[in-house]
Amino acid sequence: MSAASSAALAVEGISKSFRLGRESFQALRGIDLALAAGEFVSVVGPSGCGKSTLLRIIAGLETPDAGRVTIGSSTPAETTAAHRLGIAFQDHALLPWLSVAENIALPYRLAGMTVDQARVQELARLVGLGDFLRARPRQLSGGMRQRVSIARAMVLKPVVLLLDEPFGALDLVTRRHLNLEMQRIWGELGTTALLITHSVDEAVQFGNRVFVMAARPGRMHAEFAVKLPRPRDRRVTASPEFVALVQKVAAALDDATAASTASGMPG
Amino acid sequence: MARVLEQGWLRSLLGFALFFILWETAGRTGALGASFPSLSEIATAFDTPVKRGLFTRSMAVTVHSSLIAFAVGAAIAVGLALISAVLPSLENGIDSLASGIYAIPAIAFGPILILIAGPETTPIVLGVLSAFFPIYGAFVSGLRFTPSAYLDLSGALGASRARAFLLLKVPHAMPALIDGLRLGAPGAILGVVLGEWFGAPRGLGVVIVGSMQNVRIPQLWAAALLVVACSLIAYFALSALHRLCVRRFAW
Ligand SMILES: Nc1ncnc2c1ncn2[C@@H]1O[C@H](COP(=O)(O)OP(=O)(O)O)[C@@H](O)[C@H]1O
Ligand SMILES: [Mg+2]
Repeated sequence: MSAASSAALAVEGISKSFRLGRESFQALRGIDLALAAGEFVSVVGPSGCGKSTLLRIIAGLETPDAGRVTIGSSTPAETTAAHRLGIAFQDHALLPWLSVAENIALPYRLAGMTVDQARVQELARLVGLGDFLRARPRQLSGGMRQRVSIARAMVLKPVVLLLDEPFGALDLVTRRHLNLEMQRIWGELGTTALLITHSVDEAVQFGNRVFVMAARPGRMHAEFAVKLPRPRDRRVTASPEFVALVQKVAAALDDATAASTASGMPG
Repeated sequence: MARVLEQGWLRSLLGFALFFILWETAGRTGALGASFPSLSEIATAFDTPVKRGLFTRSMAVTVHSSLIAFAVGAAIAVGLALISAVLPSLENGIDSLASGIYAIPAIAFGPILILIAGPETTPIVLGVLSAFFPIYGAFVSGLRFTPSAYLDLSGALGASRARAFLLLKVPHAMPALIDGLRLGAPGAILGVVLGEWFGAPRGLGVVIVGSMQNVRIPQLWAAALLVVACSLIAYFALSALHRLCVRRFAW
């Protein structure tokens, strides 16, 4: 029995090519990934290595050329049709014409379900926006917008949470602060989660495991287990163990980037 | 003084005042020819109750027709835009139909329309035709260019097409729709006035043609300026609405 069959999220042998004019180029080749229930896995990789494509395939927004994705015992299409997927993007994709509360409640309305106001308020409080329920996204800072988008991703109690560089557009200070907050939130909710990031620090801080991807074609390059205590607050992130692991992952990322360049297109 | 000039409306007001002063001067000196009257000369078109009555009656007819033309044109435009967005198989057909309607030269078509629809209805029909296209075009492009992030969101959340349409696409397209309405309103007035030229019984267009035939220069200008005023009022009112709508629906 393979590890994948008992996983909350299993990605097996995913490959994906895109047409580029008359040519076709391989964005992903033979990706395997398995997340146990409640596990938080981070993926880092050079830009353009296919991280977002992998996430979009898991979310059912793209179809792979080969391989399959299983969420619990369902396909991505079945999971989205059951409204059990949570997703947050770098571009928070909030609707400017809705209030914070309405944005968080949007998944209910898109799913045709009655809005659970208590749940909406609970999540708003959890992400620290309990006093901003009626505010418009335009009136919020970048960090607050991302909190709304993460609350929105969590509101339907998804079986898997997919995060595509949700902190990528934020300044460093906001990002640090939000990282800690999100760890606390995730600690409370315990959802199985896949985080894509280009920050090694962030990957190690969040992940039970960290995967490093290489590009052209996008593939798994290295995997690290993170056995540091939680919450990974400043005490942990300043510890020699954390720093050493970050350096190891960063070295692997450098390796992966070099490997990508070497196997890449000329020029 | 500089502080005062920073007020936008004050600057507009000053601009208008300057424009009117130049106009009055040009008219009085005859700098632009005998057919270019001064403002005070144009004002003589309103100097008796009978003359004023003619203008109020004509303007009431033109405004009424324009409102009907605008409402009907907007309704058809919105309806067709929604149909083409919901039924992609009809998209190309409806686009061609819309451009076809737009391409009809009203001038050539007017006299035929008089025969078919009659002189009372012709202004409204031409008004509908010219209001329709900008509204249709703006709303359709607003509905078509939904940000891909919204589509990803609705896909990942398993939204039905109908819900994604009503909750994401339509609200996103609201500023574009109001923008179209703002361009369609002067179009409706233009179409109506043009339609009135082709022998309508009443309206500012009728006054324009009549004054031209009888060489009543101040009356001709007065009627033309009233048409311009109606257009501007409609345009600025809808521009204000557009600003509100952008504040409500966009970043
Ligand atoms: N829909 C698409 N059509 C063509 N090429 C695409 C498409 N989506 C992504 N790509 C290409 O696939 C590669 C991987 O993209 P992406 O998954 O966004 O990378 P990452 O998120 O790691 O930066 C890039 O070279 C990108 O240009
Ligand atoms: Mg990406």
